Amino acid sequence: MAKAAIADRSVKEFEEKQEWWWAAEKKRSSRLDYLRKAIWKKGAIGGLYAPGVKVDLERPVLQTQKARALEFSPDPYVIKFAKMIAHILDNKTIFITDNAQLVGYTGSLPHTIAWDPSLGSFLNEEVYNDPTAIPDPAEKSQQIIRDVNNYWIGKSDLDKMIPVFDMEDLGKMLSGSIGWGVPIARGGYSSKDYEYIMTGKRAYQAIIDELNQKIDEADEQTHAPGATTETSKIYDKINNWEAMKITLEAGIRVAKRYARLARIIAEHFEEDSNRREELLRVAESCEQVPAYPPRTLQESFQYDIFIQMMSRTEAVEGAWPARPDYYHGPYYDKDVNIKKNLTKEEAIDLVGEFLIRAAEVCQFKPKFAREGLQGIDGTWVWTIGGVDKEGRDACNDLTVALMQAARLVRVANPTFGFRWHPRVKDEVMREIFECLRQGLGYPNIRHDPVLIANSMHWYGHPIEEARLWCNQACLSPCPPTKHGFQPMRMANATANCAKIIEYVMTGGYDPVVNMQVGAETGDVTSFTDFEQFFEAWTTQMKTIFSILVRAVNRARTLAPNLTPRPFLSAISERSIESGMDTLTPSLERGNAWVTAFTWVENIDSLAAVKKLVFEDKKYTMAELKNALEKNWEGHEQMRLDFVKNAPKWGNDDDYVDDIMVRCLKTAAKFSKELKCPSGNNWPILPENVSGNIHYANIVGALPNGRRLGDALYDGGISPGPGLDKKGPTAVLKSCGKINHITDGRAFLLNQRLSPTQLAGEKGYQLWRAYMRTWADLELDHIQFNVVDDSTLRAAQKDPEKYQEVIVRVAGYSAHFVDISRKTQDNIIQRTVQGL
Amino acid sequence: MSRREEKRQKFASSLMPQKHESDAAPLKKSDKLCGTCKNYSESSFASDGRGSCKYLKLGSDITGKPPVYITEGKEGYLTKTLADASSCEHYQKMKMIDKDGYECSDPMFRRSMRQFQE
Amino acid sequence: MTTCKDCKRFFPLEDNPEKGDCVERIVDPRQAYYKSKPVNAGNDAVSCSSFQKK
Repeated sequence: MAKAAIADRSVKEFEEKQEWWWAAEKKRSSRLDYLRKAIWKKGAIGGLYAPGVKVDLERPVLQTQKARALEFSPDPYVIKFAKMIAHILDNKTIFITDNAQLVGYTGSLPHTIAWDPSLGSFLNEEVYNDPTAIPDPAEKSQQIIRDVNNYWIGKSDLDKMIPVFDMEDLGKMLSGSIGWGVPIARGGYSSKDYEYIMTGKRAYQAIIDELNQKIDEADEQTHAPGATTETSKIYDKINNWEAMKITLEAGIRVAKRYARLARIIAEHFEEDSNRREELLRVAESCEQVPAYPPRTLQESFQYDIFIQMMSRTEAVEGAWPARPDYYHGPYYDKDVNIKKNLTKEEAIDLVGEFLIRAAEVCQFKPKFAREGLQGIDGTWVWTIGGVDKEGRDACNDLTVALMQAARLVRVANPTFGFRWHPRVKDEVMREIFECLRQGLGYPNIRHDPVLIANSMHWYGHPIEEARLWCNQACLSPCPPTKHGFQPMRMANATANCAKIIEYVMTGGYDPVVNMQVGAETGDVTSFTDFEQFFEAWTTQMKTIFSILVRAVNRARTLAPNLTPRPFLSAISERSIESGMDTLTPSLERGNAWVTAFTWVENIDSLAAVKKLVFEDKKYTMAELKNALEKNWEGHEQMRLDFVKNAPKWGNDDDYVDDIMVRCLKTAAKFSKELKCPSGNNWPILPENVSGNIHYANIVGALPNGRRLGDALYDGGISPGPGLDKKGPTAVLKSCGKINHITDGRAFLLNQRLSPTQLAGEKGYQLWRAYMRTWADLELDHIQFNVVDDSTLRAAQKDPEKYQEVIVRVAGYSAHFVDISRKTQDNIIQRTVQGL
Repeated sequence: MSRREEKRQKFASSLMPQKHESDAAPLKKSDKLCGTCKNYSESSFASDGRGSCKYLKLGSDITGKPPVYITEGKEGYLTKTLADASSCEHYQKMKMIDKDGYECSDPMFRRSMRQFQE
Repeated sequence: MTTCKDCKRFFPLEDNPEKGDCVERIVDPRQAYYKSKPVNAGNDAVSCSSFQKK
């Protein structure tokens, strides 16, 4: 929309027309408006990065340079790796954007995507093959990439891991048919020991001092008379502590580089006196943190950004576990309410910028991640609300400020998960509602009492720790505590569950990737009753889950030695204490889960087979198998029968709901037989991100009536788009038949609501009534899209005018114009529920 | 040979990376590459150039002299997008209909595919 | 020989003038910013496209 047209209309006019994105643009400060528009879009559309975004070649060159220099060094690997991180941080290009009060970025320049060449050769080849994101001139860049790639062959993490995995399992996983992640410790989701590093009690310098003491004491021990079995372990501890120290010292140095740059700009370039003062505050902030604990809200946010920047220099992080209101809230209170250093508006500027800094983060990811997380880099699902360790309401003024800032800056990432409990104040619920009504697609709502009980049930987390939880990725709670936090959740334990039912029909053979992947459960036409069919389903489920879990278990067990994380260890109390890398399984309680993509296809397919083949005997199994082999071609009438005339999940129909519960309980029972390297359980978690689109061309025809190429359902326990015909309460009632504590880890539910119906006070009360039903049924999760079809269709025709329209995809939100056409159409197809 | 070793050999060649020629500037264009064949299925995991053949089975080798064609068996022949298929009798050129790299898992307009530009 | 030390964009470290930062203003299609990269004072600047004599 032309600038003049926006200027001529009032905020009220835009709000009345529910054009929230234009209203936000008018309402936000000029600083926030500048910074919001300054972001380069970093999410992939379909599978490709947006025009202008380029892979950063500086870091790979620096890292390779240092790796070469250290090849013949006597240092153990963990110290070499720490020195590589330090070399990158000491020599990378840094920048400060105009109007910014917060600094720090993983790439070298704002339009670059960070690429770590030491993760896996397959990823490096993806960079080489990328058609649009290689910097110009392409030939020179390709030469650099070739040289880098050739160096890291056999040395990268996955290359080192390949020989120690079971080759058959690995071949199946890397076919892309059943799994979604990589089984390496530097490519996944790292929760953190926030109780150690974010409570203001200490920062990097205090930890360095403690490490120095530990190293000196250990050194004395190793030279005192005597030698026992413990002596050898002490050497490893000293090496780990040294490596931790190297990373923390590098973290302090890079912050000082930002401080120096801010001072240089202020003293030599900046002519505006207000901006000069701001830059000097940025410098002070970077001189304080991360060396010393924050003193102000700005420093608290800056500290967090530096921790994330370093964690993302050390590893590729596909998520951003955070509880920003809980850990930054005290600084907000101090600055705004007590010392009154900041007005509310100034605080909102900082909060809004903090969201923007998170939105711009990007690391080059493999194809499955780009396609499965369209429009975003990773799922930054920040957790807000909830309770403290005593069970008291933890919502604070920053909880509200985050919601208000989110509505102004309208970034898709971070997105929020709100921990609802019965004592949440109405004021906070109204802020949540306002975000939903204005079409942000977040926060999603989490049932805190259910999830606290769930954490205790599955892992034995003590209640005080369980109460502190934040999302480790999209949905799975994890306590950010000494023995509670999981340092690496490998997304490899993510199953494309639609393959379970497909493999029942094919006896485990995958016709898309042309290999035997599943179990050989025999010719499906020989099954004479539903129980045999279900038994084959159970075998396929166990087989697929086991392949993925075995790989993760193996990788986690070997990770401390093969792929250590010295920086993550440096900010973890259990590692500082023990001298062991934080990935060591014996140091944590365990918090593993199997993400179950494309789950509900199984339920609808099982119900269809039970009804139309075994009960009504309308079709034989041979006829069904034949139709699926032909992708339903020539069998359209039959296909429509399986779509329309078999019961579907989400309609409060016990026939199919009982099948859902049975499938989940079967999986839950198996979850307790699977054990992680810490000895704990592997519950399942149905959800999808945009896996329903990524897998569309990978999953074949199924008995629920889908064809190869059709988008799969949008995930979790959400009904198939358009298949929930009995209204929103029926959906909730279906979902309420699941036990959200014992039947799995968490269960994603997407619902789409009408913006018109949610208008005004009446809309709020309708929503509250709906949420009361949700809470009473003890569902653990729900998320909403509140945007009408006409807006979405208009955005498809004219994307430039709808850049800030956000939709809830599945476990995350994205800007509608930043996802592929297929994903867009899939969202439009979702049923709009009338409350 | 043990069953385990058999499986290791089956998968190892497709999983282990290979070095580039240091001066390999533009890739050699060929009229026939596995990636432009109707029977080719690209890996859905990564766009690193791996894939499999729907028609030829494991044990085949189209680069051999003479080429080896196995059509019986379950496992597809593991090959690469840019593998030279000029000797393959079973090559059938696909119709290049989708050059929009924004759609998932369709023939994407990657660097390897840029060699095939019509 | 022209070196980084001769450039307007070079800012030496106080405690080690042989090292410093090359600071440059960039305006890209979305934002304006200042970037900084560590350099040695004696680096050859003859072929540097950003060189500006003091």
